Amino acid sequence: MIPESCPDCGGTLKPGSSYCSACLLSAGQATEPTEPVSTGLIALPCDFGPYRLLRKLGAGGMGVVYEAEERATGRRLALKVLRQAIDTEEQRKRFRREGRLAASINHPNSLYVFGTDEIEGVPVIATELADGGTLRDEVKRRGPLPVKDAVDMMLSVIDGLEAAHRHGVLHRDMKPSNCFVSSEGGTKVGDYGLSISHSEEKPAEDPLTRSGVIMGTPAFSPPEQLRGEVLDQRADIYSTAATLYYLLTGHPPVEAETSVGTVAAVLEGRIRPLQEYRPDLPINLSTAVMRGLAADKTRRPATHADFRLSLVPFGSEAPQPAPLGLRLLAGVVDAFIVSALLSLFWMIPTLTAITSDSRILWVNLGTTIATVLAYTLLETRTGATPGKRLFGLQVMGHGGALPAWWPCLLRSSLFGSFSGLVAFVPETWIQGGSEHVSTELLHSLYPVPLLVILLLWNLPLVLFLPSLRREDRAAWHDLASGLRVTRRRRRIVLPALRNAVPESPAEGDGPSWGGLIPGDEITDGLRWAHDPLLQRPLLLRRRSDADPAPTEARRFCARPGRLRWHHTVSDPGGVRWEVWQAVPGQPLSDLLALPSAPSWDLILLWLRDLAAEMDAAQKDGTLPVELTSGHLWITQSGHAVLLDEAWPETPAPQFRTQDPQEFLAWVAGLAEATTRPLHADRVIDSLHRRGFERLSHAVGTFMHLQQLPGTVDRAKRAACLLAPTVAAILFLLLLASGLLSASHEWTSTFPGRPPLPDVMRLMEQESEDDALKEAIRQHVKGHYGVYLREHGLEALPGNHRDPFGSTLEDFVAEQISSDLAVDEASLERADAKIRRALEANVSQQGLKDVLSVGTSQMAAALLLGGTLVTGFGQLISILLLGSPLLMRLSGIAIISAKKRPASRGRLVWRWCLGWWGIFFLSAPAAVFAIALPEKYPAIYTSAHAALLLLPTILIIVFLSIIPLLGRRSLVDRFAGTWLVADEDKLPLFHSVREGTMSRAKTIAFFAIGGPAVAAVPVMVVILTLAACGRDPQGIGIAAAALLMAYGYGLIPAAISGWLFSWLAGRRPHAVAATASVARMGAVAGLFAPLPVALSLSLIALGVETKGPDILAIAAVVLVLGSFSGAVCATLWRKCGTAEAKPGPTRKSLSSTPAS
Amino acid sequence: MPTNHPFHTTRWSLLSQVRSSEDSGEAERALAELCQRYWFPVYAFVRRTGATAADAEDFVQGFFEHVLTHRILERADRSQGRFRSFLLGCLKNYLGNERQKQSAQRRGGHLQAVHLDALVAEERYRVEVESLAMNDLQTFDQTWAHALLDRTLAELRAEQQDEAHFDLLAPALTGREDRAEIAALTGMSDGALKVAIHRLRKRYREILRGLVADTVPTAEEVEEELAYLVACLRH
Repeated sequence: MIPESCPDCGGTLKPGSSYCSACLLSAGQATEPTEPVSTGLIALPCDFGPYRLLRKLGAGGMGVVYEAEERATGRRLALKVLRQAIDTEEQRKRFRREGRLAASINHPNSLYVFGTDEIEGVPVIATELADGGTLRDEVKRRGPLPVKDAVDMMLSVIDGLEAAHRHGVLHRDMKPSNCFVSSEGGTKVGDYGLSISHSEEKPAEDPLTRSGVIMGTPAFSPPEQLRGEVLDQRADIYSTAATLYYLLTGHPPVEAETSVGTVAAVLEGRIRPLQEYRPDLPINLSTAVMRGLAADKTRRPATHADFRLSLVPFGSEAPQPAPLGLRLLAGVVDAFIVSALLSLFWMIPTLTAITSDSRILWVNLGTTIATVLAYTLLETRTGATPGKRLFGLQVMGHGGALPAWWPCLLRSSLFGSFSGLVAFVPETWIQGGSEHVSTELLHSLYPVPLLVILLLWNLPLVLFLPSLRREDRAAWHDLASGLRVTRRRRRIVLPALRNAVPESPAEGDGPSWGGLIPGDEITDGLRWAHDPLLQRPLLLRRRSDADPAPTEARRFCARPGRLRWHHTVSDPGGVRWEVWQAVPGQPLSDLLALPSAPSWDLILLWLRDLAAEMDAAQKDGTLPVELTSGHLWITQSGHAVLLDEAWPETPAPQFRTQDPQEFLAWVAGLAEATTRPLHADRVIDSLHRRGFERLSHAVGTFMHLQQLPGTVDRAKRAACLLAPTVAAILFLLLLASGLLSASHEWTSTFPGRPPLPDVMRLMEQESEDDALKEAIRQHVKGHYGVYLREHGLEALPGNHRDPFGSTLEDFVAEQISSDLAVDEASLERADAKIRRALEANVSQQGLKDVLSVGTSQMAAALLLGGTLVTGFGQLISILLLGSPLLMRLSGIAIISAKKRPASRGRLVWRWCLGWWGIFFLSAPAAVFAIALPEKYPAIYTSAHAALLLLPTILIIVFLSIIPLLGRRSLVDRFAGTWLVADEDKLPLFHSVREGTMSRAKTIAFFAIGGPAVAAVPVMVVILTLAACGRDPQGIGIAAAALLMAYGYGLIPAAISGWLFSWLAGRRPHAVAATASVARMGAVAGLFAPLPVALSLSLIALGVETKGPDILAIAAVVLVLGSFSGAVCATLWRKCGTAEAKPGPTRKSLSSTPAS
Repeated sequence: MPTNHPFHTTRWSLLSQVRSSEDSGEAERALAELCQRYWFPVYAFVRRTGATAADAEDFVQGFFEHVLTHRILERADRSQGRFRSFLLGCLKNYLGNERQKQSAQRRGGHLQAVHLDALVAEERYRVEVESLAMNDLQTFDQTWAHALLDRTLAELRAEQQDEAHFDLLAPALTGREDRAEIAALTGMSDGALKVAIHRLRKRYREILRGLVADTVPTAEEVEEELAYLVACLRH
């Protein structure tokens, strides 16, 4: 049973009683209420000056607050009446100042002040009525509040306090009973009774801070306030944190029997940890609140904005789940970084010497654990790994907090054990297998471990099965750890805007009009005015007899999207003027007159404000009949206010409409088309077509757009350009480490002898010297003949598979079987000759030195080839998809001035411009690396290798500078293109999947796409065959590599997807799940082996191979690849239409036109 | 405004002046009467602190027995001030001591120190106290105020010759009467009604202040005590 309260005095009625005990008891008091309004004992309702007091709302330190009705206008408001008991001149001054300070703030989260007055000698303040009670009432009614509710309320309060601080006002008495809940549910800051303004009083003169007087409420006051020190906004932050503490626990931070005890506890910072009351709170929220309550103010958040940032993750504006595509890309970037670091790790000489299986296994295990720990550390400290950070994602714990270490460790370990460990173990198996298992057995059994390996390699994809059907896109490792990957919240930075409203009255003012001083005339019938009591500007609009008065709904409209109506005054001539609120800011026309157009973020804010306002205005009939460009007023904080009549400064309204959606479309079009994200186009199209059934739907869409990236991140642009080059360099490092380890293997197996591949290279290069050739033959036969006859050719160290030594095996076999006679003396002579030749030809140090000329040549070739292939890959992507693939996947679109997105022709032109620069820069590298050593071997030493680094560095610098040259790079300027954000990735693939693409286009897509995809495995096969030789084992490995590269994603992913869906008992979903996994697999399969394959292909160019064989195999693989590509694409198309639902992004964007 | 109450030395002041005097029989009777008036706040407080209905009854009886037989008044600290504060202080001490001592040992066979109808007590508690979100102290003070008002209205009603007439006039005590309606119902003229209401208010004030005066040390504190109780009810 909820007890009723007395309508007169607010006291609680005794249940079952017909009278109010408090009123009855007070009737027995000797003293009759002489000043009824201020003591709260009046019989209500009653008239009081121009107001009718209806109900007592509460009593504060300085006055009693009543709900009142302004008789002249019928407006309901809250009337604060100064207590008679404290009615001194000083208190009156303070009371009036309260009104003035509160009036100066003018913010939606601060109670609006309509005016101050003195009635029957009693000062009163009339403020907006927040009839939902205070936050103290809220906690009393509901008990400790849920986290989201409490944080949302405090975020509103922080907004209000921040606005106050911007106007130089410190609240100094923030507590739950001073926060008010409006009828719409918003929270507003009120009761500025103890506030102080920086501008008007020096602390020393402030009577409120004089020694011996404790002001404020001790339990909610910071220590410095109780000590009477000078305060700054950190004092309000303390009180705000204390209020949040109260909302969350139902207790103030400090509780003591006496007020002295309370003060002592506050001064000593003895605050009971939040977790003791609410163990369920996210630990980061508790930390944030306790940080705000630090006794030492330097340890608190420095500004309201900082405090807000620490609370935002716990509010109800839940962050969006990360799209799977972005997670995949982030994963690829992280994998690159990890493999780069691991390759450096493997270059440590002692590690390269490891050959034993078990030790390799342990080292691999160690590196996997280290990787998991690194992921955990990064995610617990910063919330993201570098890849996730690059793509704007973050890992979040319960309630939006940074993840705790143990769930994070669990998550990383799960993923690590599914990917890293599983990938490492079979690798060891393959590497070591040949030493223990006979070749024949290995050949016959190869497909079995291969299949197992392939299935295991795709296990990480299986982790993502639940995310295909879940709204929050959580994978199994997310679910197990309770963490979620989400988009990072964007921090929108708005420019500081001008204020066109005059702050002080014009000089030489005439007589007062109903208490207001008329100010400058803006136009005939519109002028500024000044309220001398509250010291704030107001707007006057003349109302002739013909003009209708504002409707009641309009007069009492209290939305932040409209100006508040105050009252009507008459000038000395008897003409009536409507008095309106004047919000600091400027008309839109002023803003548009500036040289730079408003940013998209700013316009999006206006759109959201306007859509919300027009939606509400349509409902209560306060929407202006005609909307023009003059109807928009932009506040200093960047929000939009809809004016009732067009602002006269606009020369002539450039735009007129009666349709709100058309008006919104016009506003959206104010952003420069070259900065507007491409994904906004659809929304604007729907606005043009009036596609929103209700404006509230548009509000939701704008809120969603606010969460999507509005601009192109420079880091993303740099990453798109640098990624292929970095990949090539990484591969170079891997190769170098491989060569080093091979060299080590030769010298350890055959100590005292030069590595055989070096000797072989000598033979190839010094082809004119017959004596040397003879010496080499003797060297091979004498040193390796007996050993190889006993052990077979397989006993040669592994690097005979090195591309540069591919003919070595044949040569050695030939020499061993020859009948060349070698005695010791001739062998010694031969060795000496070879040694001399090796020493003379410094450029042929080969495996002995990683940075030798041979490797440098290779490096240059790799770099050049890598950039070439990347460039042509990009060209293919432009022709096929209509944009460079990496850019497309990173959410970047290229547009031209006329066309969004830019045409393929322009993109090709842009491509030519960009790559021409890179080719030009690469030329020196080519000259140094390839031409010089061939022509002038004598002057080319290993020191020259360093010169190769120069063009490499130049290319990297060039690529890095392009995105940092401002918003628009040189290439874009020449090509007439701009980069804009676009979250609608791969529309081509979407249209294929959804079956909306035309038949002709679909066939073309398959015809070009199939072979293009197949080209990757073809290269892999060619390279593997070239490297491994053309024996059965080589073909087996080539087949494995083919499957790894091409089937890596598609085939096993499809199988495992199907299998797991079936196991999960979700047969109806199995098709969709398989298709989705297959799609993910395809992308993964394309990306993972691509850089490796492309780089390897360059190596293959230098290999002497038997042309026809390679061509035949290549042709077969190409046909097979095309076929399987087409099959997969068909499966893709078929299954795509059967798939459950599109993601939230597409859903909200595409729902609009349909409706 | 001077008080209308006839005596300046209140009952409580008399009681609190009783020290080691042997001749304290009168004082004890007075104390017993006061206790009988205010047993419900004590009961409500005990219930509010977590005792069951049965335990509360035992506690209340035990407490009043303790107050009336242990010469509490002799040890009463004058600075405790009003009877309400005194009783609450004693009650808190008593509860603390008793809880330490017991609680398996149930009390029984007390003298009926005050007349307490257990069922009525519990019913009142359920209706008047349980539904209100108050702490222990608020409970005590508010039920005290209600007990005071109930007593006042009961005495006032008892003085009236016609109870139905009284019920019609009672709303006038708070100043929210509809005079035209009362006049129509009672058949009184406007002037007669005005006089009747004035008299009723005056007598009400006298009884109320008299009852309050019984619980405060000096007559000057009546006003303060009333203001305090009003504030408690309006909290």
